[in-house]
Amino acid sequence: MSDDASLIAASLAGDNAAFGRLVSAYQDRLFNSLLRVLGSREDAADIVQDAFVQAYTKLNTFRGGSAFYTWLYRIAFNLAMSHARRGKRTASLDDRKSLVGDEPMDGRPTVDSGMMQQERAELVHAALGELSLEYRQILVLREIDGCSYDEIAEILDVPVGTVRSRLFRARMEMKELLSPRLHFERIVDTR
Amino acid sequence: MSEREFQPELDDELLSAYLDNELTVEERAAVEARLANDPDAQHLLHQLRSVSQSVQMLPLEGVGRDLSGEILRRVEAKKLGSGEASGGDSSAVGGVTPRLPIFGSRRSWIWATLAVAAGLMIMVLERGDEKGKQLPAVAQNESANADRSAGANGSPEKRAETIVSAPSPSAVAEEDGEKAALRKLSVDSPSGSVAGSSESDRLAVSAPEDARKPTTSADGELRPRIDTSLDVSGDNKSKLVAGAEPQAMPRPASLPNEGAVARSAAAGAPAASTKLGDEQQSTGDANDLVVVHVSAKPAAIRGGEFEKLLARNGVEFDADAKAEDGIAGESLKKTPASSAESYDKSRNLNGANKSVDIVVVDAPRDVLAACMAELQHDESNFASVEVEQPAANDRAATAAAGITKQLGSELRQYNRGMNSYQQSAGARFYAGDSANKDQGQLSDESKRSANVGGGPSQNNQPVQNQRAAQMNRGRALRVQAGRDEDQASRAEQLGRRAGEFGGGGGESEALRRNVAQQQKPQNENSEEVRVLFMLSPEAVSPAPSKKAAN
Repeated sequence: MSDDASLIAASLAGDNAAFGRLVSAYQDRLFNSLLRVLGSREDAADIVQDAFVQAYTKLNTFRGGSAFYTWLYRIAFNLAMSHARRGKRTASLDDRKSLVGDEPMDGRPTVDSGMMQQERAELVHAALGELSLEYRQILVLREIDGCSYDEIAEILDVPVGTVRSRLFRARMEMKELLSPRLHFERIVDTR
Repeated sequence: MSEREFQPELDDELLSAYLDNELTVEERAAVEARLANDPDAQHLLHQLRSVSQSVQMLPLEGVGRDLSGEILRRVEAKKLGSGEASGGDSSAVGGVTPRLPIFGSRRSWIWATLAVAAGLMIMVLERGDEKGKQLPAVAQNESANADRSAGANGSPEKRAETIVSAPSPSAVAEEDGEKAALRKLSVDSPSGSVAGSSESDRLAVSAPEDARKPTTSADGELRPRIDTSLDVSGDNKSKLVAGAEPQAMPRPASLPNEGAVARSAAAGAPAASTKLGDEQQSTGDANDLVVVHVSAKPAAIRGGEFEKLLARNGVEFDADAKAEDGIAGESLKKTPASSAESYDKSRNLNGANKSVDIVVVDAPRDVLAACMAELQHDESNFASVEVEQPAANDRAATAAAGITKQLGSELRQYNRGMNSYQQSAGARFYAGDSANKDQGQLSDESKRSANVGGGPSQNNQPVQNQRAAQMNRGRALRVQAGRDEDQASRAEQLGRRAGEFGGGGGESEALRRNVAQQQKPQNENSEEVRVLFMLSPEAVSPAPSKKAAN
């Protein structure tokens, strides 16, 4: 029995501390993903809590057919989707411009030009905010969480074929957003 | 750019999947073959990889704190809220010390606020429930029509065991300086009673679960003020334990409200429960209802002697209720002469299904005493008079009803010629909230009820004093006319009537026999009290038929 499975079993037996350990194990990973999806630390923290609470209440429905975090992500991403669709605050590009500057990097700054890692991260973060929620979710799941296509399909409840096509389109759109700001060729070349 | 607008070629899509190593062997081979010969494919692959790496390079962000404590507290709260309380100790998780989950985020603040609001609401409701639990009462009336009075014919025995819920906000109308205002009666939780035609007639109605719950009338005729004063059709879940004789005390197949009041009314017993007002809930006590059994001679009934007696003592009958509602009880003022025969017939005074008139009287104590004294001495019209006594084993409950007990003791001195009526164990009337334990004034709810349809409610002593100063110092409402009508509908009507009574509207009328006294005696004899008079024809022959307990 995996650690997650034993903690889940203990939680189901009434050991809240066991569930607390599950929370501790996954809260930051989930928070990070949700932060990239929602763009707001506050909203991300709220959804993390909501997701764990909901997971706890539904824990008896978890059959163990998939990893706990996959199941948890599915809950969390559904909540995030509902949250975003309710018009709740999600980080917009404008919000992020305040972080990266008002003007795009017309000069095609490169790593060599001295762009700081932090600045580039902010640009990427801002670009993510311009994607549709679906694209954002799938990119985060794949690039940040490293989920396989099967796992993404399970979390988002879509066919694997959809995952592949949607991920490709998300990347293409992201490329369009980042091209004015980042010199991909140089980045690629430097790696 | 939307997903629809973008129409990538399948091969390009394969490049993305190739990047993720999510291709089959065949697909991978095909992609690699393309990449070997297609510079554009190579360029695109590089761009896709750059995008992927850019996102992957985003720094990991953490919550910055351990959420387990907050989450487990929320879980506990949710479990408690859903009745699945468990003994989890969130504070033990991860060493997180207990703390209010209100600092984490805006959402947490909202939750905390809602939790506090819910808690307050629960406290209020719980308090009300406790009151409601005290209000329900069961009354058992063993009425053996023993004719103890001189010249009285043998009177049939009858038994009526009724549970009466008397959440009773009384209503007092207050229209300054207006007689109409003074006529408004506060019907603090008039409770239902039961009249049985045979000695085995027994009704047991459980108390309403929520006497305070606003009731909805079964028909649209129910006037608003009734709603405000009586809980006739609420969700009270009274249980009719035993039904009276089908005709004399037919029980409704189903009542819109299972309230004791409605049921007992349907069973032939007058019932009127008023909604509990917050004020009353906070001040009222559960008191037993004083029930006075009066055995009247047929002629006296036809002649409206009881009503006249009340009138002589300053108790005025509400006059138009029947006309408005079409309730069973017609005004005795109108009944007597011309309709004596039909009235007699309708009541089947000599039949087995004789029924009992129930009149609720609201009057100052001294007025009631005067009425009782006259009843005691008027042997020509009234064969017997007896104040029902609480059951011996029901003392505990009765003890709480100090007002009723005291009043009952006072009035019991006027007993004459009847078998002892004693409330059965577990069957008692609750005057409940109707009694203002501290002041003996009409309760706020009563006043409010009385004010319905009237002028502005003013819960003040002057109103009562003003009433006492009037010629008509008391008011009576017949909540049941002891006729063989559709009892089911009557149940509602009774409740409605009683509500009207409680509402104290100028038009409401219908008072009659039984008097539910709930108003806590306030000071002297001037304090208004409520008594339920159960007036039965003395000449009725004992009905052998028995009702099946329900």
